Amino acid sequence: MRRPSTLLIFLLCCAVGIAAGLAFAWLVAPAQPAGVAPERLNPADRELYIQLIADSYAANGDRDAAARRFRDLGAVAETSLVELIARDLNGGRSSRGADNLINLAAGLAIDAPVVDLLAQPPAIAPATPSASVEPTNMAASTPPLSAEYFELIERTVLCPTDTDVNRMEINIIDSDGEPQPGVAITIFWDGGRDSFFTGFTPDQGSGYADFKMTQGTIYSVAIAEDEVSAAGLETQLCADGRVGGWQLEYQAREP
Amino acid sequence: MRLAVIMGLVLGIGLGLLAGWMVWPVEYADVTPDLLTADARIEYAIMVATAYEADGDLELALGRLARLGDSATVALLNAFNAAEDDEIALSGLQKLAAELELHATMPTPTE
Repeated sequence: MRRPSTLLIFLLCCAVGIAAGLAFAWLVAPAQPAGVAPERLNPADRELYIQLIADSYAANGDRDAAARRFRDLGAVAETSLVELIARDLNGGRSSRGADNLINLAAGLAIDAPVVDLLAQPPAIAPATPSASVEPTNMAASTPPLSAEYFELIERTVLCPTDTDVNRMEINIIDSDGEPQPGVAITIFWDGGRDSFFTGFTPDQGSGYADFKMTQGTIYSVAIAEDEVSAAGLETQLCADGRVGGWQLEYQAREP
Repeated sequence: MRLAVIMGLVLGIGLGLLAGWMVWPVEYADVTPDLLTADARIEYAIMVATAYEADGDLELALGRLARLGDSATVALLNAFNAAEDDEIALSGLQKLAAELELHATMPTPTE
């Protein structure tokens, strides 16, 4: 039996040594970072960093510094900022910090429906109360205010047989008929308004959002930057005596 | 034979360590602020101070500063030079330094 050559043994041992050295350097004693950029912050600290940028911007109005700091957070910064604002909205958080985030997004010209909506609230069209609206399929004649607008393609009374449903269910689809998440919806009523987004109830679909209605209150609905497209919405009396709500379906249209 | 084994292992381990530490070091993700670069930590401290100057919320500011870990004090002190003529940041830095009793180590302003 031939014995393996010395060179082969040397090379084999070298390969084993390299593997062992790499394993030690990567797994056992990895090199300590000399310092990492803010873009590598964990999500929680990235959000804190964004809040700091926003608070500083609110304090000194230095847009260049805010933009530079924001760039340091990398490509995910914009998404994180919009998510932060959306979370504040959905959590009902209204504070100086939340306002600062919106101001930062507006100052940096972040292109997102939620920013456009909050930075420049849409004009509220007068609601036309109607207590006896019949279930209909109708098309809204909303003039386009942006590159995309949302057409009300279906408006139906919601009357399940077994329970009261005093809520408004809104589904938004894109121009291809696919559910569209992250679209801002604003509900107006006498003395108040609420904003929320589609896609936060995954089991209902990514284009879905709902809103709890109060009996006796009349609501209007505006989608994204559009003007009010559905007005005079209030809880309905179903045939079996139960309380019903509304189902609205919107589709994105090109102007 | 034995010499080839020893030399191969020694050389291989050396190359492996060199590659793992110097050429392709571990890249860290999802880090905490205390692992930021020195410049980024200073920027962080300036933002904390600027926000503190505006809202006066000491507890919030100290909590944010604490995310820098042991390097918070150094970052805060270095921020004085980096803030230059940013009066809002400098004022916030001075107040934070006072709260943290860093007066003794603060640089003396020169005219």
